[in-house]
Amino acid sequence: MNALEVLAKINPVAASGAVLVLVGLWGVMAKPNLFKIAVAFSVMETGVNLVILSVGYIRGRTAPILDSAADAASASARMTDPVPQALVLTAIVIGLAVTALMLSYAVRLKAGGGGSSIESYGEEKW
Amino acid sequence: MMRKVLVTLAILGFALALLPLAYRAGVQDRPGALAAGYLDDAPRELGAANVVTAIVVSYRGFDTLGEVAVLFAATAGVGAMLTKKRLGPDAASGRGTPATEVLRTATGLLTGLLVMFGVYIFTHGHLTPGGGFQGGVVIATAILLNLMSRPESRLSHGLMTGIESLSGAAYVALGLLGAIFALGFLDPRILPIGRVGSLLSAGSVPLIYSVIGLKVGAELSGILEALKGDRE
Amino acid sequence: MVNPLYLFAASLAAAFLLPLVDKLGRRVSLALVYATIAAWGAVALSYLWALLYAGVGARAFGTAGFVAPLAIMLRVGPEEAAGLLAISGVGLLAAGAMRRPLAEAPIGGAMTLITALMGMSGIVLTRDLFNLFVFLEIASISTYGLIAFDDRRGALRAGFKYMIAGGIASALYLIGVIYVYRFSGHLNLDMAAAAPGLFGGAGTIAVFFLLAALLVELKPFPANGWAIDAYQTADPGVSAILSGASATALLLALWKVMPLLGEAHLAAVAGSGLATFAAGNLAGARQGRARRMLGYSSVAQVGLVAAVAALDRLLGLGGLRFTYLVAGGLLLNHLLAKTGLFLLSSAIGDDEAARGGAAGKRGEGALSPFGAVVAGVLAAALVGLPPFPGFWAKWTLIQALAGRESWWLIALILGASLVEAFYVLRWLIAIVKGEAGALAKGERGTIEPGAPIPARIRLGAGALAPALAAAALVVSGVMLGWNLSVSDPLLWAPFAAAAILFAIDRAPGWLKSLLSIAAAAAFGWLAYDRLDGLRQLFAIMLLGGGAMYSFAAMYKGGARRGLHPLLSAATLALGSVLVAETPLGFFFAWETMTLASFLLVLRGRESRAAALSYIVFGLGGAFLLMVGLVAIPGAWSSGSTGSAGAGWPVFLILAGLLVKLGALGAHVWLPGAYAESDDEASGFLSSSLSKAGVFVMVVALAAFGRVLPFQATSMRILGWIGLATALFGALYAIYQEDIKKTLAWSSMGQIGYVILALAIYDQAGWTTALYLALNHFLYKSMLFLAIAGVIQRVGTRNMYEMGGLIKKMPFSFLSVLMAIIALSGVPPLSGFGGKWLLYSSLLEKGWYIEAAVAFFASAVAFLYLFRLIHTIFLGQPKPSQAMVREAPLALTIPQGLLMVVLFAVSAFPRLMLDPIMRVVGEAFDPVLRFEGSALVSPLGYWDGTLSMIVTIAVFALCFLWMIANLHNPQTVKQFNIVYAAERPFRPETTHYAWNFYAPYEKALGFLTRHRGERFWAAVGTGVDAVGGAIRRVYTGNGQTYALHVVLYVVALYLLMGAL
Repeated sequence: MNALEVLAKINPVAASGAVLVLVGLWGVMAKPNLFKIAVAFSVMETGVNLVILSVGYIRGRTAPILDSAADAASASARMTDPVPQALVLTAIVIGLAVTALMLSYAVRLKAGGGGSSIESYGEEKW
Repeated sequence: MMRKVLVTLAILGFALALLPLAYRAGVQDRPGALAAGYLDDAPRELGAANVVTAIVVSYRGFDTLGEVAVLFAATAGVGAMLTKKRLGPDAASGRGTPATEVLRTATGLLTGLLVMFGVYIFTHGHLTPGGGFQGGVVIATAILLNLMSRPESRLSHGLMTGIESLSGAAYVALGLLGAIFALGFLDPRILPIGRVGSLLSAGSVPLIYSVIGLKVGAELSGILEALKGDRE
Repeated sequence: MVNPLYLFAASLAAAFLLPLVDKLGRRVSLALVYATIAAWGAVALSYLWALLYAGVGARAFGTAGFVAPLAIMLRVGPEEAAGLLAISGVGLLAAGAMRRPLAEAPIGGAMTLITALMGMSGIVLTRDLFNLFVFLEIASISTYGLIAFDDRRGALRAGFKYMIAGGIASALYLIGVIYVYRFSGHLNLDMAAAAPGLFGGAGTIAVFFLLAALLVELKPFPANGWAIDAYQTADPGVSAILSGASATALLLALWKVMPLLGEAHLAAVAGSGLATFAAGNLAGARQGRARRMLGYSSVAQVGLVAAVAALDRLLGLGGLRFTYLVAGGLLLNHLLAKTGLFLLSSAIGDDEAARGGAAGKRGEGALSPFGAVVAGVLAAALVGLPPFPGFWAKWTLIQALAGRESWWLIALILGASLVEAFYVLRWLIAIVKGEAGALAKGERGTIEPGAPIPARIRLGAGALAPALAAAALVVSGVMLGWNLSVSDPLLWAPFAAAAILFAIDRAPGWLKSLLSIAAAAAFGWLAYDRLDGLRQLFAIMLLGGGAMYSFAAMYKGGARRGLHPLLSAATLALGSVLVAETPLGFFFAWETMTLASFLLVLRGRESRAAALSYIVFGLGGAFLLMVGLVAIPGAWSSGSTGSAGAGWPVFLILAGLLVKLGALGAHVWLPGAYAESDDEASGFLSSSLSKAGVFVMVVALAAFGRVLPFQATSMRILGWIGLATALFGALYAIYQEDIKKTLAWSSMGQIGYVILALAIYDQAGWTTALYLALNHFLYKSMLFLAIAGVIQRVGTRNMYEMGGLIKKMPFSFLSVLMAIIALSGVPPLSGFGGKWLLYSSLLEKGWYIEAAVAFFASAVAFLYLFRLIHTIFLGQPKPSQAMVREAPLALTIPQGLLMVVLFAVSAFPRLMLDPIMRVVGEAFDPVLRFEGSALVSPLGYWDGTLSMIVTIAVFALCFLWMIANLHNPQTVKQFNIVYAAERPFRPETTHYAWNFYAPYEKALGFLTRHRGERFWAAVGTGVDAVGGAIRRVYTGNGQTYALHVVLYVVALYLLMGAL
């Protein structure tokens, strides 16, 4: 098969999602600033959400809402997969909760007199 | 240096694991049996035009209940962590610079619109893209604008807690009504499912989304206020 | 069955309304929290009842009026019900202990507590993969809040790291779950498992992501630093919830997804779990901070449980019942013990958290007796001692692994268990003896000698939760044991006796002594029918000895708290070793004995180090014994004799016994244990308890001695081990200044002769062995009892601080004199017969060199015996000891009895030899026989009666001659000598008894450099160093931990690809 066919097989949503996941993961491991870690997690979660959506993506189909474009009779023939969309909704909210809590931790840690870098919170070890 | 090498290796390794997954999954050309089942049955069984909402609130309503619990737990955690007493007196941020004219004016103009839009989103969740969480977030943005334009302003903490608690309890109560008057806990068919596409359809889905919208709006506002750092 | 959805509704309603309820007061809102958790527990109990007793099958519940595949399903089966009960039980205990911090913190703490426990329960119940994610997140996010709820600085630091790891895990899970949906078309677990798409190809990778997330949440080595930090720093109640409840939920989640796993996945789970078990325990060995140590132990235990579940699927170890019993038993054991210990650590105040510096102070005192019992139960359960669930699980696991011949796995699991036992019991010793504070301060801190002893710690209400956990452990342990058909009441008698005597621990000592004696007698009476000749002989030494020492314990007044329960339990455990009929029953009795005697040693005043090495070697020996037992099918069944299949496992049994007997090389525990325990307990250990090892060796050799590989060589090596033990025991004994150390080394030497005689492996040899064992029991009892009296009267154990006691304590002198005559083997007492038997059977066998060495060892023994009697009873009396009186009756009565017996069996050897030869005759062709009162061997004969008469006659003649020639004797006063006016720096060094055998030391000293101790110290250092190296991965940096997590996942992925 030629390069074009390979390219056509790649899910564009999944690919961009995977890249975001890797970027986020890199941020989590390489950026010591507490707030940047929280942001890196947001990036990673966005990537994961894209990956989730990519599974429901079907070329040329419409959103799973009944309207003039798709009526009840032709729903399963003209709509994309609704399940990943339902799941991603939950995942987004959970990601939001994690980000909020992580930021709170960062605020609390900084208010306690520590630095912004995670390296200054390594007292417990071994 | 060692660390950078290891991080690079870790990222490469992770990419290696993701690659075959994303590649082999490819793009589907039609939905699987379960998805097709939802697409065909949801409008008929629940009267919801938005199949995603039907799944989120009804078929997988238990997930949504859990999702509400997650947000609630996060709010509780944030609220317990970020009190004025714990953060110390000088932790409150945003005191120094007053908000710009633009922000203040826009806030005044937008607040009402945003709240209305939020309410629209969560009451029409079964018809159009949107729902309780989305609506709640939009309402919370109105609060955020206010907090930014007037950093010294306070939300009524008691009111927020009250809304949060009561709307949460109302959600649970609606679920229990499903167990009593319909086929099970969280079953929305306690009200007539109505005609697909009308506002009063899909059983109790609009009601559930409304209480969720209120709850999420109150919770996110609470989190925003707590992050400001001057909560008692 | 109640629909569990209502519980979720109730929990959420309670949590949502909590801020409003809180306006009525914190008491009301906390009551609501407790009621909610209790409701889960009550419903879980009702489920268990319905499933186990009412015969209802597992049931699935749909949600929102739909069923799978459209809707989320919940399932209630046995494991779910048990999991719910565990979560709510741990939750209730922890929440009870957290009452004060919960009341002081903002209400958010209580809210997250409810949602955390609800989330864990949801993890247990749900059958939907995505719903599992939601509940995982509810549990994790609530946990993040809970870790920080009381605003400890350390916990905040740890909480952030915890979030990083948790965040990575949830990303992994989401990727996994969505591709599982993609390849199987389902989110429902059972339907996904039935779909073909998940096995092979990309489906395997999707499942891998799911699995990796769960594994990371289960805190695998090395990706678990974040969890250990949290265990260490959070409120102990939170740590208990993390370690007990959360681990239960996550393990059940893993258990749930097992049907999706292929072989490579399972291998990854097993490997990762075992590595975590080993590494966690090694890293824990270095740990001085109690809570961090418990953290290491937690991750290790959870790793083991996960590995067991996977191994069952991989190797087919025994199916569902096996997994329930072993994984369930280990988990139950872990969660109860760990919950109890975490809460106990907070009650003790071993709490280095940011609550203020005063908290650490309380940890320096010793625990109150009740607290010590609770701590002991929890620690014993954690290390897998009987009768707790971990013990039964361990046995079943090892047995199953042996059935699959997975010897390396057995070695790994038992080795790591031993390390765990080491550090957990070290901590137990520290808190029971009152060193916890010191241990918590420095990494390996010690208390300054002579520091004031702080008051005992009373736990008060803080002891409630640990005590409940301990009680639950006891109940579940007994039930499990019953379930495994260890239901012989005699096997449980030690625990019953200990419990009853502990209950009346405040009663006067004499009452408890009499009760203990009655218990031993009743045991003997009940067991009598089951004792054959051999067992009867040993019953005299074990049960009779125990009863005798219980009697002797009256020599000190007062309640002597803790002594009698332990002594009685150890005695009865020895008895149950004799009556056990199955391998498991035997091992149960054996470990019970180990536990009871360990605690007995621990009761001694300066016994910390001694008790620790005693239990570590005791457990090590027991593990060897256990592997040997399970490796030989039908071992220890009545009448089993050498058969095919028995081969090298017999060596393991022998090795285990040699450790227990203190054979040279594995003897390092012995001097400390015998010397540092209470004086009568030392006697009990040396003269009675050591015979249990002899007994098992006799039984094992009788059954399998003939099928031993390389039989002749093996026996000869065994003989040499015994011989070396005898020689070095005697050599070490002669240079001791401490009288009890002397007796301890002497015991080691004498047991060495018994081993040597057993190795001869014919009728003469075995007659010798049993004769020596009985004899040792007699004279060593006399020695220890007499010495107990001496120590009590003079208040020291150093021989150079005694002297001239013959006039003050004539009876004790007589007792010691008779004992050392019997020990040294000169006529007319029974020891002569023993030596005669030994030499003649050695020569008969053709072991000439051995006979020569044995003779040399006996000569060495003379030296320390002479020193014993000379420095204590003869020589110069000390002025300070002028008022010393004879030993109390409680000691002299048993000694008198023993003297009579010793005299009788010396004058009439057939009293003792007839029963022995009857027993031995069943196994061997006769070599020795009696002709009248003369015992005849092919090399000569010995007539005990005649030698008694001759000796008495000779002595009488000499005595008469002396009386007749004694004209006008003059009494010399002790101090009519003038010393030069010089005062040496250390006055005791001028005492004649100081360094008594300095000249011999020059000649033989090179033999007595304690190489065994050095070897084991090197082993210890090695383990310690490995542990130290392992724990270097825990740098404390949250990002390094994130890197660990990702690298762990990548490594697992690559390994799986390789599989």
